[in-house]
Amino acid sequence: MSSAAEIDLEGPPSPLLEVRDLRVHFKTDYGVVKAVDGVSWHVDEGETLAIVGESGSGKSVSAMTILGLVPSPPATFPTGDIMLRGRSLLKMPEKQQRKLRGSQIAMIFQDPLTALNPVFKVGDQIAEMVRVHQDVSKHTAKKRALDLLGEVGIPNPAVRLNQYPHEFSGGMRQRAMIAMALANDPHVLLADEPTTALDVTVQAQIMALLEKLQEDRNTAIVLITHDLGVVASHADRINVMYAGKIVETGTADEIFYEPRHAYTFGLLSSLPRMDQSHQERLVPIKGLPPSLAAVPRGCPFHPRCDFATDLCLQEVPELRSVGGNGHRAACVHSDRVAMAHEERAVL
Amino acid sequence: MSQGTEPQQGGVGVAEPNHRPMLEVDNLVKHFPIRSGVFIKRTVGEVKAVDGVSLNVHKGQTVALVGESGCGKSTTARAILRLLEPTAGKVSLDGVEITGMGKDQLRKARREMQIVFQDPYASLNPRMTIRQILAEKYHLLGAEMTKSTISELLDTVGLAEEYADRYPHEFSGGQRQRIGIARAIALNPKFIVLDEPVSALDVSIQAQIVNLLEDLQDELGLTYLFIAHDLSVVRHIADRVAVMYLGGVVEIADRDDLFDRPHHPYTQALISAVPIPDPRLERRRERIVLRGDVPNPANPPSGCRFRTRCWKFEQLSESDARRCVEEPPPLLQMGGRPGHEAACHYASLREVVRS
Repeated sequence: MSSAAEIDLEGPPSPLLEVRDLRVHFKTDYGVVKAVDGVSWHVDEGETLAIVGESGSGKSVSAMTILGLVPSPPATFPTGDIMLRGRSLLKMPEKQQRKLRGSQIAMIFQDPLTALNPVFKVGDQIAEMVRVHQDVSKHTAKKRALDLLGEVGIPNPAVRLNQYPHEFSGGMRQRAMIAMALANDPHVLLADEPTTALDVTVQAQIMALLEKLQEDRNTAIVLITHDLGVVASHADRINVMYAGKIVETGTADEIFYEPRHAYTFGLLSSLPRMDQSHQERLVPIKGLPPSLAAVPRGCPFHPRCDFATDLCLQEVPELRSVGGNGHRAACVHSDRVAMAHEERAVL
Repeated sequence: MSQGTEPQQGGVGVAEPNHRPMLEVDNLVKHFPIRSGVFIKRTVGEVKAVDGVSLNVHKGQTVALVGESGCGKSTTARAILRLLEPTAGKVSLDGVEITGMGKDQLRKARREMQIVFQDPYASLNPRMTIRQILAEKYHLLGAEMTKSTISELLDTVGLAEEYADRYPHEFSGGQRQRIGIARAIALNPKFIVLDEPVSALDVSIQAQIVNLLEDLQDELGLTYLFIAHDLSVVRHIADRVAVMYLGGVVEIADRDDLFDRPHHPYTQALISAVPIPDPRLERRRERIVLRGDVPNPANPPSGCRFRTRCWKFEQLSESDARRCVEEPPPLLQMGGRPGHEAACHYASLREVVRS
């Protein structure tokens, strides 16, 4: 990772989008909630980076922060920077930030019904998105909206253009959201649980659509989800988050076949699998995820961890290399995790 | 990943013809009227939410009812328990007919049949303590309870006794679901409907609840009807699986038959759409992507209801396709295997889990 500060948007050396040591804290009556606590990652063109974790692990908050959707106060950002092609988003004037957000970086939300405005026609909402970022006539914007609806596979786009969100089914709404996100040809698409609210057959449609769009446009996709199946079939690289931190990062194959953090291992062991005929008891992770206002000292996972020793209490483990290029885990016992995984694989 | 091999675990599927099933559902129908008009409401149509569902569940077994939202799986479960009054059909529990029971009789029968809901946040009264919520069950259904009843009950579902005097908001999602389960098993029912009991939970917690449900089934000999859309959990927990589409069962089979030898094109599409947490396997799997959405159940397609989205229908010649348009396919035995039935004129085996 280069430390280039102020380079033009075209230069290739710095990653397309980079998050550096991001911290997002919230002051509450119960103490400081560290929703995101020192998270760094990057994503490049045509690549899909998955951020996985359970509810409250901080995976959505980091994406919302990139788009400037986390209001401050209550949030504070003690450290961190967000770089688009090496230029700091946070150090730019507000007006310029707004220009980049939505055009260079766009987001798809989990629940398209709350993300779309119920009192405006879908076509008008997409056209507005176009006109905010491009100097075009109303007519041209509407024409663009029509093309976009067609591109995301909505049948009868000319009719759909003039309908309201409630007239769309769940899958169609998510397509409309994607059309809106694509309105300005973004380089980065942040997809926050894009298919969680949808049925599996519709999920397959939407994921196939995202893959096709990524191929056509070379878009970088940041896929935020808790569904490890979706991750296995779509991600190139994976960040596993727990209690506001990345605990393991690597390629999809590394995470699924060579997990080196006890949490990743636990998560994979607890999954029921559709491809296995006779399954033994599931192996759950004991206990509950911690409250982010009172994260356990040392490794935040240690109270739930079967590998934990006194060593885990001493300090917060740093992400360190565990083989491969870029496979890193923040676990003192990654060797023992590796052995346990081997044993399990043999069974 | 483990791949267990012991072939036993209880009589699976229909292999118990000498016993009468614990739950018998025969041609269950639930239609909702569509009313229109400002002052005088007239019925202008019907939503055929459940349109002739038949299934049996044997004692100690789990039958899963799967399908996409709007297919009628939850309505079926509620009609079985008479939480919704069925339009037609017959339901019997342990040989006693539930449909047609009077109010008092039904209330007594409720001791035997219970339900666990998907959303433990919505199904527990926020103004009652756990003790009150559980005790209410005994009062309402007129059962005896002693001083230790509640603490024993909490212990059974893995909660400490000191939780009894707390309110639902003080619990996590997984704990709340444990309370929901405690409420369902309180009066030693014979049969429990589990309506998406783990869908709202995080993966690491989901496994805890699935294990608890399996333990309780073994210890108490419970019979489950498991409603779910997550096929991975279904493969783990169910003995038999019924796939619903638009109000009707399109395929029903023992678990491994259904997943490894599906015959209905909808079952095949549904299974193929589920991503498996295994990147190498995913890279070589072919996905059957269905077009469009589920049609409006108030106005279902003629003949086979699935034909408007069917990948097989698209490949049929015009004369073959006519049959799908005109003739609703009956459930017929498939692949020479007892208890495996599918409703498709052109059913044939297609392997979809691993390819």
